[in-house]
Amino acid sequence: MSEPIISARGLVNRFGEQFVHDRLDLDVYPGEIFGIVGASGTGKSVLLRTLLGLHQPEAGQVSMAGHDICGLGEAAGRNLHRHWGVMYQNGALFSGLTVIENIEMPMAEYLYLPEEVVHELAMIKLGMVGLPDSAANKFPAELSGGMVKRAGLARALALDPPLLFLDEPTSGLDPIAADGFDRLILGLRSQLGLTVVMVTHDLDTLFNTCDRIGVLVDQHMVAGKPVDIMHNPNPWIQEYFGGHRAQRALTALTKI
Amino acid sequence: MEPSIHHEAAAGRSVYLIAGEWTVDHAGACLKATEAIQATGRPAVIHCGGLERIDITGAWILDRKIDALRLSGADIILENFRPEHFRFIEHVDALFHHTDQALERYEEPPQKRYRPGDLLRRSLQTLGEGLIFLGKCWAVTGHTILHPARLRWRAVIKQCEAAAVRAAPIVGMISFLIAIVTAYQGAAQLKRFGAEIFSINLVTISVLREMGVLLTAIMLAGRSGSAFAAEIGTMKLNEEIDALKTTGLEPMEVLVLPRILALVLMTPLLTFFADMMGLLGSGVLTVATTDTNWLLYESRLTTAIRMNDFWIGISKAPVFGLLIGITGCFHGMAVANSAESVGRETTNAVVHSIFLVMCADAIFSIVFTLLDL
Repeated sequence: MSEPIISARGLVNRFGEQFVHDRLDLDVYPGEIFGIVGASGTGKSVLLRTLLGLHQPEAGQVSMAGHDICGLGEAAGRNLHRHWGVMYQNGALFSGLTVIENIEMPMAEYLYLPEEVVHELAMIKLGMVGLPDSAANKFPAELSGGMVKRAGLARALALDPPLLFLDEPTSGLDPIAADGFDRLILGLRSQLGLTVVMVTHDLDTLFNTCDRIGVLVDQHMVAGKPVDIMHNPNPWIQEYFGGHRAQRALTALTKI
Repeated sequence: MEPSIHHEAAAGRSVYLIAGEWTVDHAGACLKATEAIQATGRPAVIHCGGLERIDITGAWILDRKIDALRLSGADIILENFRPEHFRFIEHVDALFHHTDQALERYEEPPQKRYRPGDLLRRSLQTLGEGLIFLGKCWAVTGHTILHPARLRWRAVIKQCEAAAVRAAPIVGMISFLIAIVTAYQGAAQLKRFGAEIFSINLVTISVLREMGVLLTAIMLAGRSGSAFAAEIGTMKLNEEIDALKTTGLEPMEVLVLPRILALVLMTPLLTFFADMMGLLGSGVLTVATTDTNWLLYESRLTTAIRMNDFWIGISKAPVFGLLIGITGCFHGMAVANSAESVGRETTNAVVHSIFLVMCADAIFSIVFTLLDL
């Protein structure tokens, strides 16, 4: 296997007495879709924030494409940030800007391009995530939940990042929209060679899209191919993947 | 490597050699490089042998140039695109085609044009909505008077603390300082007539009748009016107001009434405190700069002011508190859709409440004069 694009070693995060992560290791390889799951309160969000450099871990180090992100200064951190796309759970679109302005914003900030080219590129991203062009001039408050997610993804893709973070990409979507989103992510990966890290609870998404799954249990991460993870003896993992929902999602998958 | 295009003329056609990284990191340089490709009348060959990497941004910048040239009638041949650089080429083709159509259909959002009368219309609309809000306030007040148990005392007390107790130091300090300034200026002017001692009358009467209550009101508008608008506005964005309604709670009763009531109750108390600090300030200055002592100051004070002066100032306070509370909550409820509107409504809350306080003060002045108070 090639060099990991994200590599975390010995991460420790705790709040007061309570350890969230205790010497957690994590590797994500280029071109894969890596799904993070875990019960509520096992620190999925904290892990994501740590990887993004938004949260300083108590101990341990995170390196992204060879750069240690924990000790980076402001400017170097910003420079690294533009190479990641992040889609937030609730879209986190700037509410005062239209969809197209939201997508144009990172481009206008970083690229030295004339306004019209930025606009054209933004329209491409709008098309990439499957939003109708009539959505361009709408404000986030006027969009449906699914469209907000797509617009959030379009903004995350604005700077053609090789690495994409998705926080619960399909939560709150109807099954059809969620399936569409899964296909969209798979398509983007195969077309652009993206590496995707996602936190998700959607078992369908997990089985349909992820190459590897990392499960947060007992302050550690157990990572592996979905098949291997399912046979892990850990009781929580057994319960998670052995439950009715998981079995249904799995049988549905094998039928196809 | 930086993106570049080299031009070579060869047997009846122009050859352009593309090299370097055509990626988002070099977007500006890509665009500059495409300027090398020009319509010459001869067929142009775009040779991509030196291309190291390309992404959507780079591909589009190249594509839009090629498209523009093709539109102007130039004959363009693409050569040597390697699949590993462009494994998404089919996808890109479809995407760009789609985007071209989308761009043709795209309509700039209509610019907001201001027509004469817009400001007036908007103001009248705000006024109308304000009156409706006022009506709702009265309704919920009436309802609470009929069912006193429904009043949320805990919320009222919490608001009293936030709006008044925490504001007391700054209100007292400002009143104290303004009294000193006025006393100082007054004394300097009155000295010319040998009536220096009357600066006590000047300062104390103006503090009690006007300045104490106005300073308090302005301070409350800035502190509490803005806080009410921002709190309620953020709750509204967060759908908390809807959540209250669907829980069977009336936001007017839970959020608005306690805040307004707290201001109505607390403004007189704060005004009293401001008055006292003002009198203290004027006393400090008088004792320090003239050969008056505190006893003499006290006796001058009792001859200079009447109880009326004090009551007039205090009586205005609950009205000002009411105006600030209603305005702040009204603008909080008017927030819609965006973070920007929270800011706009918060500003409006402060500006409008100070404006209303001043208007009310003018009316009070006229009424008190007519009543000969």
